Amino acid sequence: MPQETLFQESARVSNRANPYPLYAELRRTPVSRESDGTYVVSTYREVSSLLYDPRISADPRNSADPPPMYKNPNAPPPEPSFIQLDEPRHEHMRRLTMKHFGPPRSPGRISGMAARIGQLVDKLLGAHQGRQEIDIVQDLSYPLPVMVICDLLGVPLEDEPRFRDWSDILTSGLDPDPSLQNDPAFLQRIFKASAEIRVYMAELLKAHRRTPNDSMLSAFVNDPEARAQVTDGEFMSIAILLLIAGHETTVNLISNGVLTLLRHPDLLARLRREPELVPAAIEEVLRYEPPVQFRNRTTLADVSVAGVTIPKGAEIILLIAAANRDPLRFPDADRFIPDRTDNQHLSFGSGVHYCFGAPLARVEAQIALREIIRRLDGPVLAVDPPPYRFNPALRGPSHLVVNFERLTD
Amino acid sequence: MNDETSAARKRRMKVVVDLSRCEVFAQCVFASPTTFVLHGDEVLEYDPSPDEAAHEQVILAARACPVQAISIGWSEEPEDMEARVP
Amino acid sequence: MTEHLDSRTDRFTRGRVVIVGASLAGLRTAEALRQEGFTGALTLIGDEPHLPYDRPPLSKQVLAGRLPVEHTPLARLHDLEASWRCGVPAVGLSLADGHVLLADGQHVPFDRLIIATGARARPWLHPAEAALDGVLLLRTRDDASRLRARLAAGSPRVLIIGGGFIGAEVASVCRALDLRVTVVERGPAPLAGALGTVVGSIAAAVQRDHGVDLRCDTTVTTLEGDADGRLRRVHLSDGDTLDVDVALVAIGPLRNTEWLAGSGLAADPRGVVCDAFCRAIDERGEIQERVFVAGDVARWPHPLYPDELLSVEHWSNAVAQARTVAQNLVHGPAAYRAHTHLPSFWSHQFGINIKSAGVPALADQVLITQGSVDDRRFVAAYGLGGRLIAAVTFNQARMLPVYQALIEASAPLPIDFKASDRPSDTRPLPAGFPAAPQPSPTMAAPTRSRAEHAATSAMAMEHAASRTSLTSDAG
Ligand SMILES: Cc1cc2nc3c(=O)[nH]c(=O)nc-3n(C[C@H](O)[C@H](O)[C@H](O)COP(=O)(O)OP(=O)(O)OC[C@H]3O[C@@H](n4cnc5c(N)ncnc54)[C@H](O)[C@@H]3O)c2cc1C
Ligand code: HEM
Ligand code: SF4
Repeated sequence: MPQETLFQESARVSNRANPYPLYAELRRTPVSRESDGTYVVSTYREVSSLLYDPRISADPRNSADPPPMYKNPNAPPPEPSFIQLDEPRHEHMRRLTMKHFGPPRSPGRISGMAARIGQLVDKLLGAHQGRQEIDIVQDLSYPLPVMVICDLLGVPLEDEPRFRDWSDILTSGLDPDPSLQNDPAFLQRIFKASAEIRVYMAELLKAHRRTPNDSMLSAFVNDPEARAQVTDGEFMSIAILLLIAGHETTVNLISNGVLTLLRHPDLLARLRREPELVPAAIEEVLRYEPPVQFRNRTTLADVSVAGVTIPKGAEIILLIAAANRDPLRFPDADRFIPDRTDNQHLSFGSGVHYCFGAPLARVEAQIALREIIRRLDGPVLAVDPPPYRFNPALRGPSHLVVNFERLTD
Repeated sequence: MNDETSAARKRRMKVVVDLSRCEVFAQCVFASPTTFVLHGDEVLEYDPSPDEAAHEQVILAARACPVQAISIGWSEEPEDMEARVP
Repeated sequence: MTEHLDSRTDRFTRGRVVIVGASLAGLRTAEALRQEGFTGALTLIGDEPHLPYDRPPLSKQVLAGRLPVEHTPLARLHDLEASWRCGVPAVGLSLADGHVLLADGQHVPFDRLIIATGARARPWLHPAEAALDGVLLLRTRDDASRLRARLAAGSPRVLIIGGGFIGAEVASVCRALDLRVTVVERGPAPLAGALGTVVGSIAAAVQRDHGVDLRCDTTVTTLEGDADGRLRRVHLSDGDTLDVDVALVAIGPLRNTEWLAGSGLAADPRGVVCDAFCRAIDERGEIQERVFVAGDVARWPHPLYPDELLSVEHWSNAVAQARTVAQNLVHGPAAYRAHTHLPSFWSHQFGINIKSAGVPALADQVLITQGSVDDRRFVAAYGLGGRLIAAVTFNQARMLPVYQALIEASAPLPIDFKASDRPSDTRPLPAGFPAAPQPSPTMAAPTRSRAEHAATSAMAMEHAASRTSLTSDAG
């Protein structure tokens, strides 16, 4: 077996609780060629500039080593959603989707969800009245984004047990572990999950065509402009993307936020006194503990960065989480400073693929964190470090048990 | 001669977007749809003197801008301002 | 002079600073001075009867009626504790005595002076025609209110003389208000003075798509009034005669430098010459250590464009130059920083966000590198002598940063990104700048004056280069 690379080591389960020292080591070589031919980019300036670079492709079909979904000998790969498309098709698809999510056509849709999100948080926390323990992940930061994205998209919440598994398996495809990527059983599970979620989504979209409601998917699949330009396969891929990206990430943001604050009781106390600092603190959580640790790309041409020429067709890993801790960009980069002013983190990406759902994630996290901080009296971590989800790309705790004295109103 | 210090300091929130820097990610529009507006896909317009009711949202908008193009400042009330001009 | 230097740090933190020109550059310089630690007396002199306001909305939202002009005052970003002299122009400068002379006869003494008097709209050449009721300019808040009132009242046809950015933006607003509008442009295409004819002809197509009656290679021969002195008709060089009641004269800027006549500074309608550190240069080519220049009125040498003195009318330059001036004024020669900000601007017209980085007007070649001209979403790269010197985007703002970095690195042209959205034809074309430019962002004097020579001399540039950090104001 080839020797494990530094990056693979940082992605290993045993380093999940704290990959940052290894990221610091990686940053010593801003662009490093790993023994498997992958280029890992770990410094702020370089990650940021490559996220913008038109010579960099997000389309796995340009890659010599595409993700598992593209390795199925028995079925053609599904149509890519726009997260895996380049210009001009990417922009086109993204705009047609955005029409039903945000400006210019639906500018108030997301801010209009704040009240509903407040109610959901209230309900989820309220269930712990009279108790002294909560698993933040299972009781709040997972169910909340699921409920919200289901609400928004028009996906029945009762289907959660089904798509939970599919989503878990599909996102594990982001794991760079070679022993997984070369494991036929692992690949088979991915192919199966992909096929099943597509059947599920096809049925759901048909239902939205038959009986439209005021959900985003209904509006999207019935929009004549979209119908003229988006294939049914693409509709499915986009809907699946929104469903998965809409909750697998936000859960980590809320959990990481609670975890980080409980590790800094003085700051937690300050935020309780000054709740208007919560939005800034969330930006700092995003920088400090990014829910999405890295993204993959490939090169369309030779690209020189930081003195290294990445050849055409190479695999690139943009290590967002390392860039966010780059001391050349952020003073005191390893310190959590909730009111940091110059905080241009890369946790939602940058350039044309900048996170589509960031405004929703922000509203959810702002409300959830504000209420957790306000309502839990005397919270302490039951276990530190907590157990982590298996996935190194979408990094966050799988359970976060917190003991507290009382739930205030 | 007008001395700023002696003038009544009735401050009002003002906002300014560096539109050379702005990349039209529209995060500000999501956060504060009454102050920031997209005219077409990439034309961002904003009200530099947002209503009191929008102030909280405008602060969120400035925080959310991925390229830190939004600055928040203040000005005197227009009445005072005009009155102070000889 | 030295009595005001902080003896421990050599910083200029006390003394008297006078800023002439109380608009974007003046205000931001004042704020930056305070931020840099200047605690002395600060005086802002402005001839307009308003506190500083923002001009870009005037030809856009304000004119369209989406933003009341009362909302345009500029945000204060830092406490000033300044004295304001609004509504009174400076009419003279004595460098020897160190004072500014105001129109009301007062002398305002200074230890350091900042010149930020910007530009004004160039008036119509025939005074009698210019005086007709309905013949308007657009530079100030009051100009915008007047033009807005005319447009809101409705007009059978609006005439716009000059197809530059302001003319194009106003034409766009007229069409949005469903007014008939004729644009008369002396050159071969609108925006050609700034962007060249290749991109200019795309802008022309955009205007025509939106129903603008665009007439290129055409001039206005006469503006004709009625017995009451109201504009009623225009005669064009193409032989046409149109009935109009509103004419916007948008034929470029004149820098406000008359008040400097006789001061000895190298100042003319193109601006005030300064060195890379923004210190004014006098007619003999000597640097005036106590006088700095910022904003539209400045002509300064830029390391990326070594043969020229740049002078731009760009919002972001006024802001960036304000920072450079404040930094250099306060921290002194040992800490001087060159003004290496890469020129950049935006314009909103016909639903398109046009952005530019670098100085397109100096280019000899242009090529479309990404996107689609038909979709009005593209990137145009401009080159000079085989190097990338500028880029312009139409509705592709997120693509500009890459090009900015390449311009700062003087990347070779043609560039081939193999970008997924490259057009089929990426061959460079002649950029097509009219031989006799409309007032363009830069104008090299036919023969160099001593001041221009001093500003760009090898020694000055080398000195500046040693203090250059091209990315210094990126953050
Ligand atoms: C209608 C319009 C639209 C624009 N749109 C854009 C845009 O979309 N994008 C962009 O990048 N830029 C745009 N600009 C340009 C931008 O507004 C200018 O670059 C900016 O205003 C320059 O600021 P300044 O302070 O250097 O000069 P100015 O704003 O011209 O200010 C100079 C001030 O000095 C005063 N003054 C002059 N002479 C004297 C004197 N002798 N004594 C006292 N005071 C004096 C003037 O009255 C004025 O108030 C636009 C400009 C206009 C007019
Ligand atoms: C804290 C929560 C979130 C984080 C940290 C996050 C992070 C990211 C990142 C880093 C990208 C860039 C991907 C790339 O460049 O390859 C991205 C893209 C995307 N995100 Fe998010 N995301 C979050 C929440 C959401 C939500 C709630 C949604 C859906 C509503 C969503 C939908 C998307 C989509 C559709 C894209 C693809 C955009 C494109 O390719 O143009 N995300 N996200
Ligand atoms: S969030 Fe920032 S970049 Fe995006 S549109 Fe608003 S100002 Fe521009």
